[in-house]
Amino acid sequence: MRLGLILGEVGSGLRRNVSMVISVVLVTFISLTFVGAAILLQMQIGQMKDYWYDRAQVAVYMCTDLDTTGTCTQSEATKTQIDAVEAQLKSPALAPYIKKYEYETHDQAYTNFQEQLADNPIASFVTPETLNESFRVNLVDPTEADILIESLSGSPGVQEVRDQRSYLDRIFAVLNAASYTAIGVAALMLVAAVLLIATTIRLSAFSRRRELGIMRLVGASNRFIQTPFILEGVFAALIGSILASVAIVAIVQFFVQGYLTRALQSTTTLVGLGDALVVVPILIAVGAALAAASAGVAISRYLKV
Amino acid sequence: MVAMVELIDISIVFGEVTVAQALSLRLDPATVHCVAGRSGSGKTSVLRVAAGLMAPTAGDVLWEGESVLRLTDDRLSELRRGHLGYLDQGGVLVRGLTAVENVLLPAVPDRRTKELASRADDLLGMLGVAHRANHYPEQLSGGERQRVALARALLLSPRVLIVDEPTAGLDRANADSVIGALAGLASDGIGVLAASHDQNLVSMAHVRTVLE
Repeated sequence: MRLGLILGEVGSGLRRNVSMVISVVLVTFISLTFVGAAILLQMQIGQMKDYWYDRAQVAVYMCTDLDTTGTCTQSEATKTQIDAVEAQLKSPALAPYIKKYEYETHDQAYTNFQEQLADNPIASFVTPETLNESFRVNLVDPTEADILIESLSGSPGVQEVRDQRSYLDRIFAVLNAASYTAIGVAALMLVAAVLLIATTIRLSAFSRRRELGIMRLVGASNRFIQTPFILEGVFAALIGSILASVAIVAIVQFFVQGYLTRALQSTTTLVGLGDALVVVPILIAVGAALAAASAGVAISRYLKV
Repeated sequence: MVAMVELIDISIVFGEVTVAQALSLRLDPATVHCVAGRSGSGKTSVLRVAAGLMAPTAGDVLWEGESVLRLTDDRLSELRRGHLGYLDQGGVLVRGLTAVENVLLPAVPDRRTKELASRADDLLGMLGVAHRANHYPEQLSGGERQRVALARALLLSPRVLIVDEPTAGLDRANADSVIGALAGLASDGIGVLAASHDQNLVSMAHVRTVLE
């Protein structure tokens, strides 16, 4: 539809409001960067949940000489009690839910503890006897830990049955809070971007209201008159979206895949370039759609003659 | 005979202000129909409704027997370009465009400017402003601007011409020249719907509707 004419009008509108257009580009850029970061963070949380929940075990802690909680009476769990718990794990009632299990002795627990808390002063005070012996159980479905907890809690010699996912949930709660904060900031910035686009288009239309009125009177349709203004808003927003996309790809490439991967080594999987490239079209579509809707509404009042 | 434009029992209400109530009028070919009334009586709103630029609050608008109120904006705009020309109050022209470029504006949506260039020149000649074709609006007198705007309204050879206060702001000689041009168009078969309180135009009209 009369492409040259429309593009000419778009160009003249952009030149006329250059400072407003730059504001639109910057606000769209920052808001969509937040949107992209929030989406990536959600992807990261999803990946971490898959990774860690799959590895999360249910620990059946046996009593030590020091324990007074659970069924413990300050005496070490006996061999009979340990065998009874193992028999329950192998029983037809529980076995279908269990992928595998292993028994961790005082010495193994001590070795693991020293490795994990090597730099912590508490490590020097701990002795093997103070650490519980435990069954480390991997479930077929990690969400069914309650079955194990209900079956084994209260068994003689058992101090506590703990689902390790409860530790992870706290970490994920923090990450989720960060993600929702990013979404909140992004939403506020997007509102600012929409209002700014509407104001820019209104200014542009106001300065050309005489021409708009004449074009309506000589038979131009609303669509014919609206198109250059909508393209003007979409063009500015698209530049912001592209900048946000570049920022997101750069963050993933240089910060996540570069710095974070080195810092965390192989303790977890991190979002990669493939994930960033999934986010890019979302950002561009969101930017263009918001700008088109906002500009379309802003111009409508100038279409009445 | 089918009317070129017919308003049937239309009402126009803005908020609490009623501009027109159950108004009916028809415009036949080769007729000048004058909508008269004091300033603020709603003449312009009635013309806007007749031109399909604004929907009435109630009633129906027919062009050659067909209702236009339920058409999409694209279809209505296309139909309007072929059916009627509109001359707004004061003969407003686009600054930055010459007289002949202003005349060619109605051809822009359909990309017919090249095809209609010689017709634009002919119309400017017919209305006595051919020598002003390449002048900008600010270089034209009020009467010349009005005639350029009239040429613009006639570019697409409409069967209906709607004119809003065509003689407002003109001296008597220029006003009578515009009235003469409108009478000439009607005698060529065009239906002219004019809003005016110029007594010369009102008395020249074949049909009159007076708004209270």
